[in-house]
Amino acid sequence: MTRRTGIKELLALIAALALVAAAGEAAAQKGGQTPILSGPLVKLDIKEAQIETAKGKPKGTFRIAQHFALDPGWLDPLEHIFALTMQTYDYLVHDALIKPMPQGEATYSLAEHAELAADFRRAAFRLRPGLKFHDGQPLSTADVKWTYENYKGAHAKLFRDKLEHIQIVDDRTIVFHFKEPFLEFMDLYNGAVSGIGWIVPKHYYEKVGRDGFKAKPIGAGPYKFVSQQAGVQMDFEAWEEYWRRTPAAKTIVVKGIRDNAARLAGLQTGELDLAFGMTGKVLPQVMADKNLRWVPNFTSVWHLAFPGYNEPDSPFHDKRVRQAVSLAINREFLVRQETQGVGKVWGNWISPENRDALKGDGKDLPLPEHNIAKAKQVLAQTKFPNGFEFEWFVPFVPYFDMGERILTDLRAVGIRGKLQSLEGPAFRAKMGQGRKGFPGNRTIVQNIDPRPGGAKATIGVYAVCGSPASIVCEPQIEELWTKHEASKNLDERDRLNKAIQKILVEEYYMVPIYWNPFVHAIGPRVLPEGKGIERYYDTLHAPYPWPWEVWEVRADR
Amino acid sequence: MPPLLRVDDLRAYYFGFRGTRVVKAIDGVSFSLEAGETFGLVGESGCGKTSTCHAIVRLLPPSARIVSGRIELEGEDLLGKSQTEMRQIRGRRIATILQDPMASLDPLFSIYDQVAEPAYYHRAFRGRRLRQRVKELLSAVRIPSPERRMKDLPHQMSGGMRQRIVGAIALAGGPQVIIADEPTTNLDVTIQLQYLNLLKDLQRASGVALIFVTHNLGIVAKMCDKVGVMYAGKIVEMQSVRGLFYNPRHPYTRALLDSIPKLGTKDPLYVIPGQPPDLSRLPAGCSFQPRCQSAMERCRVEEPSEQHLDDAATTRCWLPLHEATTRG
Amino acid sequence: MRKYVLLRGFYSLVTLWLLVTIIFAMVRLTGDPVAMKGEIGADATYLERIKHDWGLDQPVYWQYTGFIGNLLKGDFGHSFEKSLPVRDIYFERLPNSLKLGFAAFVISLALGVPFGMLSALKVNTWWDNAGKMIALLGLSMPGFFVGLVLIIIFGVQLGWLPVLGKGSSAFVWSNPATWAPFWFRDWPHLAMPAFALGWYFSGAMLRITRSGMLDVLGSDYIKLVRLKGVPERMVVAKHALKNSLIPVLTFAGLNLLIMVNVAVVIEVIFNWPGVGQLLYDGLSNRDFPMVQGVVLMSGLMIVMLNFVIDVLYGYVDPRIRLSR
Repeated sequence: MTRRTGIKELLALIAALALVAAAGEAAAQKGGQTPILSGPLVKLDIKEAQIETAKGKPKGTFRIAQHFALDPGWLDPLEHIFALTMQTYDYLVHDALIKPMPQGEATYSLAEHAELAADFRRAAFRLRPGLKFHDGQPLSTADVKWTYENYKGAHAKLFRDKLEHIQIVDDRTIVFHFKEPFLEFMDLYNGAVSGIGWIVPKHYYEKVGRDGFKAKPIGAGPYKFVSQQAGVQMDFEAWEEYWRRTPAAKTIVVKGIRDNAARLAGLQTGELDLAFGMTGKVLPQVMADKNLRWVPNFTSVWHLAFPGYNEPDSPFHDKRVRQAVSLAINREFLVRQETQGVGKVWGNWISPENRDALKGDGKDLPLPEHNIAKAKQVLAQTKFPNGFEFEWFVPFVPYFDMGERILTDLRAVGIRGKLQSLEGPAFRAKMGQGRKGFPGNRTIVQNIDPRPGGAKATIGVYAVCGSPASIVCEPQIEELWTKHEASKNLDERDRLNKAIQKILVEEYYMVPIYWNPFVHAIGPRVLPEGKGIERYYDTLHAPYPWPWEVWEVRADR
Repeated sequence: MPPLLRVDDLRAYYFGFRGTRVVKAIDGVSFSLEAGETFGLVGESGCGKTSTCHAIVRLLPPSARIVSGRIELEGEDLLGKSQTEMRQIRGRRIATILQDPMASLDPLFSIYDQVAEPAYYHRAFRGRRLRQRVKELLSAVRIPSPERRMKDLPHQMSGGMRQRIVGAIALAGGPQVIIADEPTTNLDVTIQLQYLNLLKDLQRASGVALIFVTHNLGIVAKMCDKVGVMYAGKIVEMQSVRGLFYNPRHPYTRALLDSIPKLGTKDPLYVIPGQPPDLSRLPAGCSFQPRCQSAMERCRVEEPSEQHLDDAATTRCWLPLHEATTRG
Repeated sequence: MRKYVLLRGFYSLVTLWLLVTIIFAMVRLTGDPVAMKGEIGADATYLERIKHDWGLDQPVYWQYTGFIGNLLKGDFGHSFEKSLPVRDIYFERLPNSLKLGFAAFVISLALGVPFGMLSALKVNTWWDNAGKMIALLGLSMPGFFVGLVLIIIFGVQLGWLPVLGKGSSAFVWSNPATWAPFWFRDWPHLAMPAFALGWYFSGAMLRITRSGMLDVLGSDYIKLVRLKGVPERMVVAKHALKNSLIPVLTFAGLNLLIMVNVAVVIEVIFNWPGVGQLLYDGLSNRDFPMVQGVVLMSGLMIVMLNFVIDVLYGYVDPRIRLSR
């Protein structure tokens, strides 16, 4: 978690602390909380939870269509995956100590107070009083500790390596001690990034085991798991004793429906209320249908990358060639064709949803240019004045039409290649191997990656030599990155981070295209009527409209 | 008093290939039959015997048509009747026995069921009377333990027994005429005799008239009173059995008799030269003429008309005329 | 007879073993499944943990013996994509496929058999040509096309039928109270997918019935029945019908198995949660245990059916029945 306030304020705070040594409570107090840790603290920007007094009984059935088959594994936070999709289920059945909410990117949930030592070697939490799991058993720090220790999911190694020991102060207070400074701890512990903060009931998990838990999980979240048909559908029921509020919808049903035409049909017949991923050819139909509403739901930015570019015999080795590629793409046209004009041409390949990303709308990075003449001019200075043939253009599955359009744009300046359409899993597998996934060095890849954790996470995956998925490997960037990792200073880190982003765009290592709207379509039964539904998308940097307990639907007949 | 069954100059052709190919399967068949009489219809395969049997009960395949002639049962014109009316004739007044006992019975229904059908539909037997009737019929055809065997299915019976059951079926409706189309051809030789004796007994007992189709002259000698020899769709000679064997009038008949193997000699078998004719491309004049030893000029040109000879024999041949004239 | 049965049983087992081995090998040719779960940016430990969970870090022959060993215990392994035991998922879904398969089967019979008989009875007439054309339409229009057309017309435009899934009725193996109602409830959900699936097979049924009927109508015993003067409708309804149904039903039995196991496309379009969908998901996601499990189960059903037919034929044929 990065602070908006500068390093200066922190220094001032620490100075004040040093002066008022005996009155340590003043600095850490927020709404009358007693401090847990001793010594100087990092100022955390965690927002208070909004607890609502019960408004009435939950009513109605809310039907959601996910765009791929459901995996019961998503119900187990201990095996949390890297992708954001899983959070949909986290927000339903489970709860985390801190998680993104409409109030803020980090909002107190199960925890009511958190502290991070200034040396980043200790982190403390105090849980709210009276927390329970769905089966009525209390939720205590024993469960928090157990979850941490048994976590096997994303970033598990990092959490385990850094941990020295966990200290349980009492059944509401817990302190994590780390072997070395763990700057990103609060960021990573946030429910958006990993599963370690989503608390799993120790007593229940030990009783039913891994398979049993996935088949029938229990958590502390607003909805209780009722039943599932593996891969097809999951049914949840409101848990009226949820600490924050009574959920608005009585039942939530999540279905896995791969085909977007089928999702559209479901919305139109009233069998669905919310459908994700209504892009491509169904988008005009969604927009035209007066009974349906839609939300643009911007996620991340489409961009091109050039695996193998850094080999001297690759045509993309020359920066000017990459620049010509960027100049050739008619982004406005793409935005119109692919997203009915909803998308935004953008100058950074990392989405502005990330706090630490440079803005690509001209404020931090310029809007990319479309200029065929200039592209040809630039190309003329290279080894390929009349263009060249490259091998494969690999589009992000299944946006093959978009890939074709880009190829056509490139052909206009003489850069010719073939479209390689892969299967989803094959594409992901190749991307996961980075440069090694695409043999040869005459390939262009079209990718998009809405991953949590900030711009630095995305950089760490694609632009760092040591990453398994690395595509960009430049000594200049390596140097900056090493400094970034070694730095204990959040401001310095931020500076280095942004410098890397600038290089990646200015040197055309990554060519951004447009900021993608991953449109969601909403049916007529969702309340409030009209544009009021946009408030469900208030949670920042969330590609899905969580939390779920606020969604209201019309009562069933 | 009209004969029981009379067929007069019956002609039936098969029309194939949209009418361009005409097979003259029956090309002039006439005979009559009295009650209790056995009429044998003899000829090689493909000469039209089976077609005649089917034509009499109007069950020719859809590609065939009766083009001319008359068929009368007790004076009633059968050609003018509708199919519904004919169903009242079939089984009830004219019954049929087919050649292959293994294929004649429906494999899925019991013996009782199949024998009972004609009695059920034509004579309105029901219930206990029906069972009694079936039992009588099975006894009449000498099926042992008919009560038990009624429940059996055809595959549980031997060929000989099945053919006897087919006989029982034929009798079940109480017909006046039974047409037996080569009933013993598919039976073992030892069984054949048994079967023929049975038929004869049944005929004597019920007074039914029998049309017996066969290519075996030995059977003809045993079973029949009157014989018609068919060749190329026509009856070329018709006589009493005695007359046929002692005084065949048509060269084809003579050739058939000659070709019966004789026991006790080692003479080479006599074979009628040539092939049976293609009924869609019959030669001009007499159909037998290409294979006839005694063929004359006239035979090649003009088809012989029916010659009624003194001893109630008829023949389609120019020879008798010729003989008569040459004898002076 | 006993020797015959044992021999047939042995062959069945050999067939199954071959099937299992071939699918084990082939599925591993589709690529690396770990990449499916391990997202881009996952570190090596994470991927290794997954690989270990799935047993893929062992040498192939060890995986194979483990696989066979588990099979004999009835354990098909854990689905890579769906995280739960394959056997549990499969049997949870099997009743759905059975329901769809049976419904499609009934439809294919109801459409195909009467029209096939009509075609045969009125052979070479206008009726026959109409029947042959219907059969051709059935066989040439792919299931997904028919399915999508139905969805558009009856689901979206007219709104008569729901387009998604199978409705809420569930067949719970452990709860007998759910068994009977499962087959009859939610039939609006069943109508379109069953029709789309059955339509294709009705064409085949029509042709089989037609040729079977024509064979029967040309037989000697039918000729004799006609010669007996039995009314024509009884000739057809009593004799011809029963005799011609035997080859039809034999063929139909195999079709039913196919409809239950291989209705992949229909299940995907209509989001019908059956075993065909499992196969599709399994193949898309390189879910080895799932593909292995589904293929094995289908193979098992077909092998068992063939075994039963073999034994029945053996019983019917006296040469085999009476031998030792």
